[in-house]
Amino acid sequence: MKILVVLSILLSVGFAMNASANDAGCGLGSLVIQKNTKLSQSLAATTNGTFLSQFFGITSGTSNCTANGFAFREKEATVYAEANMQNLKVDMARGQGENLSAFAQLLGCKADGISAFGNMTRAKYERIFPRSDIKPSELLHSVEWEIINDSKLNSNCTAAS
Amino acid sequence: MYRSKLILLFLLFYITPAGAQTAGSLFSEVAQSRYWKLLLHYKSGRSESSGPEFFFSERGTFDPEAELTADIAAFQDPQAKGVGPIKQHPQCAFPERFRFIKSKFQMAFPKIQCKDFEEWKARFNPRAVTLVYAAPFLGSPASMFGHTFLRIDSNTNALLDYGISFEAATGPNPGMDYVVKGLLGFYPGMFNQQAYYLKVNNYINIDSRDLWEYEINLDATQLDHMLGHIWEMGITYFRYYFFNKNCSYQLLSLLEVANPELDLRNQFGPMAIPVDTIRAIARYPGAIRSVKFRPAILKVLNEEIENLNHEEESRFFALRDHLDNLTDHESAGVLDALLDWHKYKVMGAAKTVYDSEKNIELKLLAARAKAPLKDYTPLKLSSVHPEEGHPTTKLALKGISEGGMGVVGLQFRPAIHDLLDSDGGYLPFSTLVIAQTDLSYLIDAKKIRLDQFKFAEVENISPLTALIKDPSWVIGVRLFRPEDTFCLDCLGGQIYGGMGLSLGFFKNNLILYGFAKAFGDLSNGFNDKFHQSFRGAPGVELGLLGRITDKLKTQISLERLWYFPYAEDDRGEFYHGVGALSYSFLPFELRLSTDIYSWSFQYRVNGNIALGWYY
Repeated sequence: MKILVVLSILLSVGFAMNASANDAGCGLGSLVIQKNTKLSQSLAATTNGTFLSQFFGITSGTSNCTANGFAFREKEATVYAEANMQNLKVDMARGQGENLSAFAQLLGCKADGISAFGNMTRAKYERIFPRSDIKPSELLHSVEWEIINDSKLNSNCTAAS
Repeated sequence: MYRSKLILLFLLFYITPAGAQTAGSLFSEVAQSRYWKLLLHYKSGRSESSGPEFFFSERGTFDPEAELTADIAAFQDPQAKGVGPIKQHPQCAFPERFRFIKSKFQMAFPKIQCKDFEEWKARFNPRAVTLVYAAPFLGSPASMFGHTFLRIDSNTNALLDYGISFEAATGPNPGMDYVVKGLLGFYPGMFNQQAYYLKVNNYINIDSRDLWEYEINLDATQLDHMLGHIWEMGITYFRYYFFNKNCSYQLLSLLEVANPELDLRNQFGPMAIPVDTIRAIARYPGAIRSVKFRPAILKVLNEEIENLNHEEESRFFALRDHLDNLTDHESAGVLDALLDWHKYKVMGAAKTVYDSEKNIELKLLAARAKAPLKDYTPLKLSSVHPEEGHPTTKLALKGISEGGMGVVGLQFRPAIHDLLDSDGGYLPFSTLVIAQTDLSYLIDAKKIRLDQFKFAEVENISPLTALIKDPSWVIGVRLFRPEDTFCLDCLGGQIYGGMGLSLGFFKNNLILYGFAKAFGDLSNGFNDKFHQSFRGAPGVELGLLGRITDKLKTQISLERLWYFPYAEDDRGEFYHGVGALSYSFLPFELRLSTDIYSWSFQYRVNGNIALGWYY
């Protein structure tokens, strides 16, 4: 019997169980991440606590998300910033990277405006991140403000218009 | 309802597409067609879908004709009852079935607006579909076998795309019942949509697992059909079985709907290992358009550190836990490595970040913003893609010399990999074995004997690095023949586990490892010796693992156990030495090994030659 129990634990491993330890509908991931320990995340992955709220076609939607699993267009940049704050901090200091491009795109920057966007985030880094714990909405506001005040970005990103 | 059935009959008999075909034969041809059965998720004559609202006919789970009739009636009824939680008209809940039926029969249907579906579909506007494979991670049981999901490619920046995955819905806080329920299929599995950037964060940054992205060759029409069908998945569920009806298996059904010429689910029986589902697709030439690789954060970090010069490297290691010593003169390379280390710590190791550290983080970031721009070259693909590794099932023919006696043996191992199998496409020097069976035929006695049945064994050898100091470990459960009992017919059960450290040399091509271990044995064979059927032992193991070339591997190890209780003349000492050499020429492998067992001044030497075939 003991063997059976251990065996079933070993086998329960479940292929393929998705490791979505921090699912939060269509966004809001990174805040949860920092509170969990690696162990509890592994457990969460093992147990795969999936709520039905994130399946499409069956939900009523939340303040940030449509009923069908997408972020509302006008909230997309905020939802993105919230889930990717750590990545964005790094990419914006480097002035490049996939997360920076995605964020710039959500702010309406054209492809050829992205390197200028990266130059701006580097030049204005300490104004954009005056504290370590700025909120996604604050980040969005300060970045949009910098875009408006940057003659090059102004013409390349619609967030300014 | 009654009226619409009459209309249907009328249509079937009097309005048929041009040609000699009669309405009845067209109807049953459509109902029995592969595509209709794919839409209903049939396999071997029954549907795998369990959601009651997925069928309009009570016979729908096994009778495709009854379901077709009922669907047509539902689509024709403007007042039809709403389906699913958001009460959609049948035409809207099943847009792909509806499209298919309209394309086959010339019938009149009421015009229904499907706002939810149309809005959802418009957000995708897909260019392609990519099957994403998350590489296995032995540290967490849930991810040992890997995982797959689909990404609908709509954007130039993949992070902004959405992923579609199939998952078991366990509820928020499942306990031990999860294990049993998961094995026996008690959980419903459902399709789920999630932003790709969340998945990248999960796999790359938190779990530090590689992602492989396989773009599937589908045209615009096929993508359109597939999206319509994915929507239909929103109102049903499937019984989730870990080993075969899992995430990877159910994704195949979506690809089959997109391109019915791909016969994928039928390639799987009792096990659907995620990497094998990629092989199943790759079997069709051209089905995979391209492969991209997204390295785990620790791989990126290692690469960054390797690219530092000697001085920078010592600077990195001096600073990584003492960021407050940061000066204004650090190089961009050092700052980048520190940033990724910090990110890994915050997200992956999930260490609590204190306020003081946050301010230092900000200082680090600001310093990076001032340092020069740098070119980042993406990490090279590993030389062997996961689906190019050895196939997961192995059958081996063995010649055994057992204490001087010749024996012929057979080994069957349904999954997956051990220390001596060729590492290409797998976690190097790892073991994940399920249900390995070793039989031998005693030529003189004309008898078949079970030598070993390994329920499961997992071994994770992770060499210490300057960066990461994780322990190595092993755990296993098996039936075996206790060598020291002299009872040829005796079979024992054994549970064992070990924890230790390993060191890598020559770019981890040579590994030295040491384990502290524990064993628990149960066998009626012990009765003669110590009048009870249980014995236990602490033990130690010391070993060397070598990868001489990509094809040639070797292992030398020595294990010492202290069994208790022990017989008077015995003291319970038990040694087990292994020397082994394996040569892979896929799909085959030749393996030579020697096991030396020694206890109370007696010993036995077994020699082994095995020709393995992976399939």
